[in-house]
Amino acid sequence: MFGTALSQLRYSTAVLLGRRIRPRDLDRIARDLVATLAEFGEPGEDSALLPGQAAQVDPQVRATMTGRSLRATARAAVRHTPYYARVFAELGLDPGTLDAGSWSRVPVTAKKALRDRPADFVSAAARPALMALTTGTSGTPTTVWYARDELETTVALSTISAALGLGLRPRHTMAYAGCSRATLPLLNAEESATRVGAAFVQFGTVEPAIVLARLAAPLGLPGKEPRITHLTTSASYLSALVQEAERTGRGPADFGLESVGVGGEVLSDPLRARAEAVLGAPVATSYLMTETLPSGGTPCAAGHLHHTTEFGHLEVLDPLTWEPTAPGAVGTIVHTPYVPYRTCTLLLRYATGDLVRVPAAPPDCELAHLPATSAVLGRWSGPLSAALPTRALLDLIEAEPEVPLPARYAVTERPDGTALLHLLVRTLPARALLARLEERADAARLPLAGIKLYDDRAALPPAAPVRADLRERTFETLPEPPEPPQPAASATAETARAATA
Amino acid sequence: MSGVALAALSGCVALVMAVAGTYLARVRMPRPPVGVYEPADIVLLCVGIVLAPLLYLELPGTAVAAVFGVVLGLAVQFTLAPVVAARWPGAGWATATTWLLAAAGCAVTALLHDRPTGVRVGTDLLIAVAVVGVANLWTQSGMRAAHVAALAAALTCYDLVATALTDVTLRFATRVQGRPFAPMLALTGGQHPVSVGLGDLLLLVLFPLVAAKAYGRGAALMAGAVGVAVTGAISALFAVGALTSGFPLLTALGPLIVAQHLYWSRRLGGERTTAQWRAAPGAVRSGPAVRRG
Repeated sequence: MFGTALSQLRYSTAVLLGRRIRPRDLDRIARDLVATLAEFGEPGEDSALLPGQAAQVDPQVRATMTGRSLRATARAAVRHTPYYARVFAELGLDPGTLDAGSWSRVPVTAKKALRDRPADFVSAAARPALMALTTGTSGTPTTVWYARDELETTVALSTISAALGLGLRPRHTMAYAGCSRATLPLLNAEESATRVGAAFVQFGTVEPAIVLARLAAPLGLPGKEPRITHLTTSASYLSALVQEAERTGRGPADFGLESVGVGGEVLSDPLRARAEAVLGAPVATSYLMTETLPSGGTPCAAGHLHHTTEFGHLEVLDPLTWEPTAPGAVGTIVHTPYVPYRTCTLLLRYATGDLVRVPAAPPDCELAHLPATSAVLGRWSGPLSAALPTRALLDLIEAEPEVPLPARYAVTERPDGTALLHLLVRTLPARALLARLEERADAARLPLAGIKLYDDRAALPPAAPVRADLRERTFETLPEPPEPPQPAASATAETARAATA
Repeated sequence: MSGVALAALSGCVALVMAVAGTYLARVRMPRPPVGVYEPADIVLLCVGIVLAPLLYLELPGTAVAAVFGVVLGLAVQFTLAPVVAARWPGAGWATATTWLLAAAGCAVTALLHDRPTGVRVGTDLLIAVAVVGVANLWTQSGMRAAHVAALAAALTCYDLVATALTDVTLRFATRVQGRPFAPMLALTGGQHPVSVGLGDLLLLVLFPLVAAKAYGRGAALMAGAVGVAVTGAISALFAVGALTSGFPLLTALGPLIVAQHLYWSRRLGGERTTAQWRAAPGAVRSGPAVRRG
């Protein structure tokens, strides 16, 4: 009791004064939360006040804290990183004079700048310990260095989140079906799960049939549920699992899942529904990224993504002008993770490239006190990516069981500026499927001039890689292989129609 | 010493135990979002208990009374708050009312400083309510029987030294006797008052509650019976003149608490957690937890 109170006091003081957070304090709070849950079965009152639990804060206090945190982060970045020392010197900016109102004077940091020279963003005052690489589905992974203290802080925050947000308990077993090279998320997931007392297993991104077999297999462990209860994976790999489960006729009774967590990619509503139908567990997604941890977003019941104000500062900006995005419009997330949560790779106004829509009206949901956006719509790659975002396309494509998953598609821009969707299907002709896709695209008012179907992936224009493509090999014997589809003559069907936008 | 007063003292102890048990069964106290008792908490508690009288001996009597007045007032407020909030849920005035009641209790007791009987009655009421609240707070916030046994063992040694081998307790009792908020449940005044110290009373009330949580109703009844029997036996020794001055009650009660804990722990294979206790049928009939403040 007294030790916990002392740790909470020290943590709060560090946050208020912008001083270094002792990882031991956060670790102590996380451990005591686990012990509290073991003793009482639930946290005590005001658990929303725990770190990272989105407590309501007086707007005036929040504004003061935001200004203070931005200044502290900017000061540290200018003092200790070559990149920001140069940028601020060139502009004659004094980090000590900044606040939320004048924050726009700080130039946006492009992802390319971090990719090209990651060491320029590493604080000279930090001791880099872990090089975290993003998946790099766009072709070049981004390097983010983490110090040991940051890792411990992040793990402690993840433990609190796993226990309170995810409801993880010692009787649970969590499986991680993500790329085994994704060190940071893997470390976080393993450490937080096992600190809660749950068991953890790393599947990797092996053949989906193997993962489904492992999810269905009895564990036979004392004190644990009979089968794996929690699955963490990416949306594209989930789609591969869904396809395999649907193909083999598996259903909820085959699994013991209580929760499926999806991250890293856009999760469409149809895929969520199909996954929930075959896996028998609610599928939830949140927003986290390697560059801006521990900041992130939590979905609410109304469908917003609410961004924590505790660990960083969110802006939604027009990706061309870097001006604030108007209500109802689409912009890109620009984020500043705060010191003292981040001490090694320091980023100011980092352009994540993730597209979101700003709510047209102020939200009135249960998390209305936190800044809200839509769920992530996709990744910015040009004006077409905002007009025709990934989410809209996946909502269209993944609702069709005839389309093989993960969906392989590409969008090309015609010389007249209209867009064409190229989609891989199992067999052609597929007139009924095409008609449905066209009809639903029209209903969704997607700015598509046409949809072109392929049954030969080689003929499909280059499709964006997905995380499920990072397939890992295993010596494990595969279950009975599926019946190969009957070969069909390669053909395409195209329809041209007026753009609906 | 008055035999009636001595018998009444055992009756008062039993009454406070019964009220505390009823409170446990009916009132759910708030607790912080995280935190469980650890051995370090018990050590800290023991250090505080050992050092407090030594510190108080160095302070002016008025200052000591003021400190105890504030502590008792706070304890009375957090004891009454869940009761009032459960009776009038959502009432904005509930919290303010408990503060007013606590302040009024302390103020009246302080104002009666020149009337010994009035001071005793006021202080006794405040102490009884505070002990019910503190014992429940500790129990409901997860203090385990092992913790109370360890506390009892440590305080047994302390009581032996402070009361029997040195005059620390005697000097402290003499200093606060007759003052408002003196930390003892006293039924009579004079040179040899019939009273039980606050620490003794707290352990007498605390262990049955913790035993109820950890081991069930049977253990709680036994703990209560043992506590009343110890108080009664010591009172009887005073009544027959075998004892004439302060007696370290914990030297008798402490080992019995430890023995009971060991007995039940071995018999039942361990303690229940608070979650298991609350989930047990008929364990607690409680309303929603309410915010303290």
